[in-house]
Amino acid sequence: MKITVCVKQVPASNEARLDPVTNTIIRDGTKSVLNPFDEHAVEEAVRIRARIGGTVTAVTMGIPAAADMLRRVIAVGADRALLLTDRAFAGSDTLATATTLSAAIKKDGMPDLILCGKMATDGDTAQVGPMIAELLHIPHVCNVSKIIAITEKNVTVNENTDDGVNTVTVPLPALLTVVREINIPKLPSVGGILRGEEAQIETVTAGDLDIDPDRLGLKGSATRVVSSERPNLVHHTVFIDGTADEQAQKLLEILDSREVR
Amino acid sequence: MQKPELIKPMTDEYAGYLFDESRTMGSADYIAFPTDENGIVSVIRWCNENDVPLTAQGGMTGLSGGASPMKGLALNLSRMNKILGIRKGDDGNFYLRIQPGVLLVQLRKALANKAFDIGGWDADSVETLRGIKAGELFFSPDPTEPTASIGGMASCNACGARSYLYGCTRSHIHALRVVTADGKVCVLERGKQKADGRRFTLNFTDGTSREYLLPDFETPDIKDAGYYIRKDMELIDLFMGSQGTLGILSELELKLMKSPGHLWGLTAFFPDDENALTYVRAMKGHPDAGVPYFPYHPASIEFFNKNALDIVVRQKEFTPAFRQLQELPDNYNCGVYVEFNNESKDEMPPIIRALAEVLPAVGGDIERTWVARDELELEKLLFFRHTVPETIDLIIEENKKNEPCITILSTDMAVDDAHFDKLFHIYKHDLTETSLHWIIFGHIGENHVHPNILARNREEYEHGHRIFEKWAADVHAMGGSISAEHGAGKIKRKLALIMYGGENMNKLVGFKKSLDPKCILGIGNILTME
Repeated sequence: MKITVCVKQVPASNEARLDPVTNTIIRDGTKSVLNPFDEHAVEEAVRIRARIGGTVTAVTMGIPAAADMLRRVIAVGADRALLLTDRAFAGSDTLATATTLSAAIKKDGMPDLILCGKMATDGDTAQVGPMIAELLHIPHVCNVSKIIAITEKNVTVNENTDDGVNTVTVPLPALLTVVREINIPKLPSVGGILRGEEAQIETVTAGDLDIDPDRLGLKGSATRVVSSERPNLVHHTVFIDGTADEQAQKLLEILDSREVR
Repeated sequence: MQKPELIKPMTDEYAGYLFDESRTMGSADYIAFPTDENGIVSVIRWCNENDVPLTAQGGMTGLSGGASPMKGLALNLSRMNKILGIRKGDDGNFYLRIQPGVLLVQLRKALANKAFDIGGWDADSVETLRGIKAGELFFSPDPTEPTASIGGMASCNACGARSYLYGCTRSHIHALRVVTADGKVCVLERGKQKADGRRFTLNFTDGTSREYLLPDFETPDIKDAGYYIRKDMELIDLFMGSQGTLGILSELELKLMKSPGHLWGLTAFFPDDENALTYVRAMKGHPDAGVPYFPYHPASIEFFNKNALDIVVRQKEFTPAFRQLQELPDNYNCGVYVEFNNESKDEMPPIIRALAEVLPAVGGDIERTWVARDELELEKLLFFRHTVPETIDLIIEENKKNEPCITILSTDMAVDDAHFDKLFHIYKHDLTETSLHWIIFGHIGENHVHPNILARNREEYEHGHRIFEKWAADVHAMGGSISAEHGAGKIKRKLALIMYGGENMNKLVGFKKSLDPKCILGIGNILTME
């Protein structure tokens, strides 16, 4: 089975830290990591290959330095990796990203199964996976928490929804986006790291893709970021004192006043 | 003197303060939660006047009963948890002033994120902090339990995995404020106050001073959590390792290090303990014949025997938090964790290549390894390491329901490199002969692994103690220490007696009485009184 996994490099932490002396955001020390959801996608691909054989190809769109992340993906079991890198891709929104990735995936030979993380932790849109499936005209299932069965023809999965879990069977080729509970990603072995180091990362540029340049990068983006602002988080804490009965009574009054009860 | 308001009767609501993590049950009539040094002074004065014994408590994470009170008063320092300021020394190092109840996890977060509450700091400290970057500074002592208090760590001179490279807590404490049994305060700074031979003077903040005489013997040279006695010694070292029996720490100044730029490590699995021992020798730069020389220096080397891995695998079924653990390889036997603290990540690839040569030569397999390539991944390996003592806790908690006398029975004896393999084989031989449930894990790099006996009934518990006493004699004969990091506390007091011998024990008791004539401090810890 030919499996392709889409991966992305994201900042290690999205937690804002404030310098206590200057009250400004601390930016140093933030490293780039493999998007945590994508780790699960790679692990699942490697597990499927262990069960039924095949190859696992990782693909990312990013700056040349993303090659390091791809070596890390090979270290945990991917067979090969494609790096889509070109100035023409800069400024891509989710649509332009999905356009580029789907074109590269198709060019590389249509896989039987495409796996993505549910979303990237830096954008939180969860749009790129489903968009790739639409652009490739294949079915997709989002928020997959378990692969129950997989054959050459179809895959049966558990899909997490707001109301519970659906069990869905889709024909292959198909695209799945996975959630954290699908597996526990394994750390690489010494052998895996050596394979990652020695691997040839295959580079793909805009010219390699059969696609209209107007559909790439900023030009091909359907959205524009007009401005970004930090949300103003306001916490109101009310301390209730008195005996246990008095505290309970006051709490009930507060809940009633807010029509929580 | 009137009883300070701070002192409260020990009621049921404070029952959780009667035992530490070893589950050694104590008893107390009073408890106090001072928030500053004056609070400690008033409590100690009242105790001294009224002959009330007093036991200091920090994070209550000790494994030897050191913080479990023996009657009298529990002096709980958990509310003295402020970081007070920072200065840059003439030597270019940064020194952080803290109260003793600051927790290790709190300190690590503050340093990593530059998250300090600077309200109350002096202007110099604030100015010094301005020039420091988040994550730039580092406090290396790392006992496995991150909720340990720094005061408690200093008090038992705690070690951890990384003390293999950086040394125990003692070497990272620059200055102390100590409250003595009569409520006087002295300030001790490394390099400033030393004994003159065996004589020394303590100068108190009230302008008075007093002379004392050190015992006329030296405590073992092996890293030791008990008393530290040397001729011409630094006086600050008297109050570290002595587990609150000589004075109470009211403030500490920590010497911080520059953070290593890149922390990473790996756990390798081996078919047999002997392969693991060969690997450890290679990691320490003493390879056996036929094993390539490994020229790099690990920050820590930790061992897990099969029984230790087994208890974690079993516990995984019952403890949801453990489900995130890595899956062990098929047919695992034992594992060794090695950590590297490098300046940059560029140093990792040659070390990986060297490991790829050493592993097969010692009977390992490069595929049967878990490599954590950065700090984020390292958390997974450290989490695994931490689940071993956590699982022991859970098992002992359960076993204690059947037999209340049961406590954690963990040893932390240490010998030098030359004697370690012999000691390891003694442990295995003596335990394999029994039907006890036992595991071995811990700081193999520093020659002190922790054989633990998970007693299921009184008979097994007593049997465990007898085995420990035998080992204490073996270790003493090899010139080792009976407690390299947890402190003798109450559980290993008998072992301390074996190590020091009756005559020297009496000298230590006499010395304690010179500082604490009414013997109110840390009663039941380390010392065997006639």
